[in-house]
Amino acid sequence: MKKSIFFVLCVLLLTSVLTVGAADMSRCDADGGCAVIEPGNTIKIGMAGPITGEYAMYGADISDAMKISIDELAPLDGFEWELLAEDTLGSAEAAVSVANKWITDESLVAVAGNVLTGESAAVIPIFEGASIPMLSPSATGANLTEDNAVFNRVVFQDAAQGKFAAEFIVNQLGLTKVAVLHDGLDYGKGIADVVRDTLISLGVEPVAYEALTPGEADYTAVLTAIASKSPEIIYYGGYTAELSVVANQLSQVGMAGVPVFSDDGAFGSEFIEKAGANAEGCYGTSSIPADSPEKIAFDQKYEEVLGRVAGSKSSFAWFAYDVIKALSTVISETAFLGDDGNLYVPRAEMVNNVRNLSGFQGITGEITCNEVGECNASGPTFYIVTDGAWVVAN
Amino acid sequence: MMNTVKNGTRPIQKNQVRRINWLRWIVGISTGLFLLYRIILMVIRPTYGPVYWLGFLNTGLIVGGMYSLIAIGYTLVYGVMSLINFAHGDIMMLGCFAGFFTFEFLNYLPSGDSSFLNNHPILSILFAFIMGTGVSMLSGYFLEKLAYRPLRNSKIRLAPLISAVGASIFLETSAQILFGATKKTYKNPDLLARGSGWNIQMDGGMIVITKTGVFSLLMAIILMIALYLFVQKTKLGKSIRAVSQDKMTAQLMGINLDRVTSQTFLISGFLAGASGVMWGIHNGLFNHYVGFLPGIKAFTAAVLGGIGNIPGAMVGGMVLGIVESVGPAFLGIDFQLKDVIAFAILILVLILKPSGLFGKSSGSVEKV
Amino acid sequence: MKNMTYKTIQNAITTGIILIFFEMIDLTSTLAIILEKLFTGNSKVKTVTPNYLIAVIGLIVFIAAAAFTNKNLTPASKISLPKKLTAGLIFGLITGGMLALLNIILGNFLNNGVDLRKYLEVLSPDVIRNFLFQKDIQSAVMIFFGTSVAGALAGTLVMHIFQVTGQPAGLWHSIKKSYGSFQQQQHSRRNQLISRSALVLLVIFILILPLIANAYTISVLGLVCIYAILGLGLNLIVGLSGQLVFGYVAFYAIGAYTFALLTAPKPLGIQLSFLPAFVIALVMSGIAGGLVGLPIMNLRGDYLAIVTLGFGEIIRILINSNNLTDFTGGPQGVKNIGQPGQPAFIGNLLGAPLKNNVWFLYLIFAVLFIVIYVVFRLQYSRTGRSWEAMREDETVAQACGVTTSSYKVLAVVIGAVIAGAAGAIYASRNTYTGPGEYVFMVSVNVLAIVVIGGMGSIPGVLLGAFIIKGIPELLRDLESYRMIVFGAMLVIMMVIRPEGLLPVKRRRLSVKPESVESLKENFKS
Repeated sequence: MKKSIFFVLCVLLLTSVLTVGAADMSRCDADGGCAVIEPGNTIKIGMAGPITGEYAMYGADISDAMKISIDELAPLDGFEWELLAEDTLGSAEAAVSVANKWITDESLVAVAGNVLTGESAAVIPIFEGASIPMLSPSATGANLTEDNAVFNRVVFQDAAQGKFAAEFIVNQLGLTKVAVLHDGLDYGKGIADVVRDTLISLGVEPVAYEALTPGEADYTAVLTAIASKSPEIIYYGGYTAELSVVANQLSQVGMAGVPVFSDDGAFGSEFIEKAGANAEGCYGTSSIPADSPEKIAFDQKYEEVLGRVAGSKSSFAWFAYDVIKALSTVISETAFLGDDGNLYVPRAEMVNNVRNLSGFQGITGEITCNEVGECNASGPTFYIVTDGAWVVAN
Repeated sequence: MMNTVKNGTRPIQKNQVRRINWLRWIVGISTGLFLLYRIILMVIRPTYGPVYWLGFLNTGLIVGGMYSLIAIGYTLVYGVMSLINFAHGDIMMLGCFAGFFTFEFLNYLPSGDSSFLNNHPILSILFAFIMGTGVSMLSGYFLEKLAYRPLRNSKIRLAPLISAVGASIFLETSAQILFGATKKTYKNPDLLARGSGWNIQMDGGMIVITKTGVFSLLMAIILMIALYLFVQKTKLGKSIRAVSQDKMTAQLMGINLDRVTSQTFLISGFLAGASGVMWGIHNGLFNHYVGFLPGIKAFTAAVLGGIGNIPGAMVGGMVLGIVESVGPAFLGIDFQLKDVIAFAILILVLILKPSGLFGKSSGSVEKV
Repeated sequence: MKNMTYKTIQNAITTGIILIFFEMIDLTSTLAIILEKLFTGNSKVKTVTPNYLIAVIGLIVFIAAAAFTNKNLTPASKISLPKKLTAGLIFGLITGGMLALLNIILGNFLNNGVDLRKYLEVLSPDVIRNFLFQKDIQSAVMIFFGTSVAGALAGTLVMHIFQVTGQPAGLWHSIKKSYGSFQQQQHSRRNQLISRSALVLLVIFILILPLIANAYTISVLGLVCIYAILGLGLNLIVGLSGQLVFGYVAFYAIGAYTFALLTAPKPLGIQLSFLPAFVIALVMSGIAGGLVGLPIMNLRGDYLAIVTLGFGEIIRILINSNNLTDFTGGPQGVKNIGQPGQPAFIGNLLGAPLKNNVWFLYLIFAVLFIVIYVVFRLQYSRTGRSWEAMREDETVAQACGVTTSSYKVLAVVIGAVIAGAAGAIYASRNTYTGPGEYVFMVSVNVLAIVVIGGMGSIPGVLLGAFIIKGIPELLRDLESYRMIVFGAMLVIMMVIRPEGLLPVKRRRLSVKPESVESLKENFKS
């Protein structure tokens, strides 16, 4: 009698376990199926960007910061994490190859990238076909998140900060003679265009709209042309290195004291270091909260591991760190352990969950994705260089 | 049958020659008219005050001086080997790095109450030039030995060019991994602080003639004159000219081709290194990619002046630099399009004079 | 003997410099990791094990010493074994000494707490500790000397044994010989049949390949084929008609952008279907070819090169410029470019439609085959012969009745049309295109394809495209060092085989007068 009860119990238990298992596995029937990580294998997050070549500073810095971040993660159900950092030379051509390599990898769960806008645009259709979510720390081009479900980013979209910056210049600073300058690349031009358009809609026609050629380092010709229009402020869309040269060369064309207003790609201590006294009075944009304990801890670790100050190579190190943390959180929530000991991550759910990520607290502020995948919820803060340090501008 | 073919082709040939001449006339006259129109427009309705024109010219001269120096390196090598030395810009990059490290080291070296760099600025600059040119000379020398010499007698004229492309990729990526991709800034001695200089003020506007700019322009002119004298007067210069005119005959006259080629690479490396250090001192900002754009521009300048011709390279570099900075203002278009103007000028010049500004028409070519 | 010592020292110092360079860029660690992965079969090795680092250094010295022995201590020079070994010992001591010196310096920096990474980025304290094999400086120096001397001695010894027995070299010769006789046999009928059937098998294999390959292979294969198309087009201009064109990317860009703007919803919103857009793209790039070709008819050699380079740059800057942003999309590029639909009969035939990327690869194959056919027919036509005559000597060709100027323009126009086809296909495949893709380096890469394959040779172009675009993908294990290796490979390949890997036969005939004689003999018999 007792034996039979025991037997019945056993059968019940077994069926319940099996049905639970079966219910779990049905999650893999949706589009894209599941990412499967076998025991001994690692949970892979991809990062593709220019690790060598002309734009190597961005890709290399982001992959370094991501490595720091992924090494901090605790194993999920006994599965280790791994970052696949692949070089694209910054070209869409190589990025497409890399993307096609990754979609054949069953254990690749998410992509922390791509780094540049052009390459991101080229790989979005591929990842959309394979239902792999992307979360970029640096691709800011204007229309990337439109009409696709997979691409998200933690940096500002160009539109938001450009609009705020133009309004800040006109309303807070009360300046009307504005020159707009950019570096001719997708990021800088995207922001500069928004600034120009917002200025015009506010009734302020920019006195000059010009672009420089990054890679050269003598911009006095274009600055002379701007100087002849005698602007009160120059908005610059682009990155730190060129910005510092622009700030340094302003005095050579008789524009000493004219402040430069720049975007978050150029924000950081590096600018002050390179431009020195010429940086005084210049404005910058950033969404990174000043010095939370987590950020200080990361900065220390960054310097310890890489031997340079965070932000000295590019302004994306903090975003890169947060991207990995956010992705790993989403993966931990989505993944489940199969009966066969494999870890399964349903791909379609993963795409949804990244898009619906909300309230994640990172060192760059709160990460909450809206319906089109713009995940930087904290608004831009404008800073001004005073006595050799960035101070919040009012 | 043969006769008809002959009679058929001959007139076409003539027509074509005439058509090309027509094309030249049309292009030449319309360009001239357009320039005249712009000049009149500039006089009637000036968009920029005179001081700004001075500013554009200043920038153009400084950039042009550097282009000239690099272009001479291209032209020398082309004259001796008929090779476009694609890695020339990367040799310049190595010189730029060598100068940077010299300055950093001298800045670290204490001397008296401050650093050696600021106590002995002239000596420091000299050291930087010695290091920069030295490194560039060595790398040029070994580049020739390893990558070009085995190919000198190859029948495929493009083989050395592809070898040069490989060397360029190699040098660029090596420098990136060795020194990092971060853009670095030259630490100048206070004597030559960037941005300081002589103010020129005129009706409202003001520009600064920078010390670094004057220094690099002077350096460039001195080096060019020295090089010209060197090529004209010394024995090595004569052998370089002889080789670039006729390799075979030069060898028959007892000139050691290997040695002359090596020495040519040393000279072109010297010029590239000097321009690398000048680039660093004047512009400050650089990384492993610094040689690429100036390299292409200088190559363009060398062709503009007539490749293989040293005065041509000098003038070509200057013209290119000035056109780049004055051109957009003169034509009233965006500065983003300055390279379009530079290349358009190149195409125009080559249509009007197919062998460059100073090149002799093909046939009896006197190079260098 | 004095000369010998000098050469030993020279070679040893060169090896030492190479090793120091490897250490400075930390390539030795990567090599050690790869070696360990190969040796243990464990693909998850992440940190360097000192033993494998020693092995890597030993191997490099071994190879260098063996090459040195092979080149300088030949049997012909009649140097006895002890002397050879002495040379090997000197060799090892010098390279070991140089390495030791470097590591003493690095170790001292480490012990004094100096961070080198401000100037030399890869040399972090951990890396230097690895260089010292996690030991103190003294024992590391001993290891360096030991490894280097052992490697050098082993290299000399092994080479000496090879020289005495003459073995691998002899084997190699016999293989070459038998291959040569095999090639001669190929002229017989039976072998022709075999080679024909081999060709058919190859074609079948290529046709099946997309069905069995994974997405990555398909993607890389597609890229290689697109570059092969580009290479075939440039081959017409450079390899056949002998004009140096540096701005080939301009036509590629024009083809891609014409197609993109005609089919994408933004910025123009025309949204044509594939075929008309493709044809218009070809026409546009052909017109561009004519426009470039006409004014430069009377330019020669490198002047032509630089004018086309300028044209390529002008096109790229204009696409990117502020003024044309509304028309071309500016730096943001063009998205959602149209793709050709799959005809329904394929789905009916196979039961299910092909996957998109597979179908597209077939399309690329089709274009590639058409281009190969066109180029092949052109090459052996009157036009092709005129081009070759022009390439060999322009003046003589003119004297023989070739109107060089029109043939020049014709070559540029046809080459441009082919590049336009490649561009249109490329844009359609990626469904995105931007100005950053049409930089000068693309022209240089295509030129490298033509030269590496062998100028004027169609199979050469296919091989060259694989080398230029396929090899960097294969080298992905080397991480950031892959471009260093790639650059060095280009130099080495050119130095070893300047005429290209698969040079065209007619060209070979034209350079060697004696082979003409042998051809005459062949005709007689």
